[in-house]
Amino acid sequence: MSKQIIIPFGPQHPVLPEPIHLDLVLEDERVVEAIPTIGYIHRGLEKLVEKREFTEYVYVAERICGICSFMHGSTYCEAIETVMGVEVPERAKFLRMIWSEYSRLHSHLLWLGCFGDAMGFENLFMNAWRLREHILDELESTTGGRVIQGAARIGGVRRDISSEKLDDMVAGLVAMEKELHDLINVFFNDDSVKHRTRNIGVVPKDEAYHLGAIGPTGRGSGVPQDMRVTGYGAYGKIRFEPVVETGGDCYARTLVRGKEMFTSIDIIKQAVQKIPDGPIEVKVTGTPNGEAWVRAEQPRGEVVHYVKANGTKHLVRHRVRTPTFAHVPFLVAALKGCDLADVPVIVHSIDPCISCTER
Amino acid sequence: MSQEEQRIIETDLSCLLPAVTARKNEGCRLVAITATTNGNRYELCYSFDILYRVQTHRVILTKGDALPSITGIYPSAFVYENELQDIFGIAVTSSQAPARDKRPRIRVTYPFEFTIPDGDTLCQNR
Repeated sequence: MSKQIIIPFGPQHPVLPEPIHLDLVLEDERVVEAIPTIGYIHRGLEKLVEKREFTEYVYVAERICGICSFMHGSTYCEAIETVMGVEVPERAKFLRMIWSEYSRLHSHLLWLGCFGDAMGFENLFMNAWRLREHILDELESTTGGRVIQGAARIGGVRRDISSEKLDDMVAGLVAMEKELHDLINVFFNDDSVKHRTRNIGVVPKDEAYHLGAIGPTGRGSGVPQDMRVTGYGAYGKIRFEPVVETGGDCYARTLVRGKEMFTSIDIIKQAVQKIPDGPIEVKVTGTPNGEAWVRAEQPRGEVVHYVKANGTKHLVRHRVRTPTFAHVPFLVAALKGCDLADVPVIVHSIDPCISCTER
Repeated sequence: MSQEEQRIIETDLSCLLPAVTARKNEGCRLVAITATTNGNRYELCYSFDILYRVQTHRVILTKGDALPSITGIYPSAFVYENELQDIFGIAVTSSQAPARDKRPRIRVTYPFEFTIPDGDTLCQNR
């Protein structure tokens, strides 16, 4: 056995957008073990349920993450609605779905850019983020916020979208599709990208499943789990197939996210065709009493919002199990046996969102 | 409103490991371990998923008691158990988790470790 050395990776590192620390145990250039440490930006948002009323807490839930902000807010609202037995109007469900899919597009484009940058392709980073601007512009014009949308509320949504604007959004997505194809073509077919991602960080299907891998990370290993197929919200009215790849490596995870963007565009197109007229919210009175686990498919995978209430205006407990938190064991497994030079690419391939993880 | 079935199985602490083993043998995926402070005890919820159905084992743990680790059954449980240690101060025994970073750090407090004087009456505006 070679002499083992430990190289610290993070919490500050050029390729890490957010702080996570890994102690990489190396034999020569090969990683034999990775020991993760999180907790550098723990914000105590779950603890805030003791200080904020359950209606105010929507704003806190939205701030769990700056990428899937809307989805955290709407999933929290759905959890409260489940406890209180509130049935949200159909139109609000469709609007939530449309904004959720825009969030997924925004997240995947952001990730593609960061991933390209981690591999050393800065031009890909700029091109992906250029396309992302269009998505952010649409989110801003329909909700009022680019990063924190503030559009979800308990009982529905705060804003409606006119039918003209919905048609305009679809036209914008259609126009963007060709550019997206050109961008994705580089990620899918470029030799340099393949060289940096194929057979790197391989986790087979069974291992990925038992490590709790979910979302695009799990689907890249062949685990066909996508919470949207359960039909929560308005997803039951939409036809789509989850994107599943079987390679289990960084390339497969890239393929999944790349293809999923076209699935999201298709879902938005269907939603615009099928969205019914009607109210966008119902009045909610009283206080919640009970508990509920509610799950949703975020860009990184299944998120769980657990709320427990005792009939007062303050919740007893709000717990968020974010996708990246569940992916830490997967990351440790993916890093085992890799070369030191591949660590940034593997870390990025799970699309880590440490802000979500730290809550 | 979510249509998902909320299935909770009250489980004695002594039956936790056999119950988790049974879930593993069924092919379940560990979704989350969640703790809630309730008077002088913790409510621990072990949630498992198979084919989009969640079942949750609820275990009551008295403060000060040790919690047996399930990392021998589900290795991925170490992130949840580490969190229980860090924010609730719950001692987890027989963990097979990767060694934790042992460099000295300043521990200020356990934010979720507190006692409510009147037992189960929770969620007053503190």
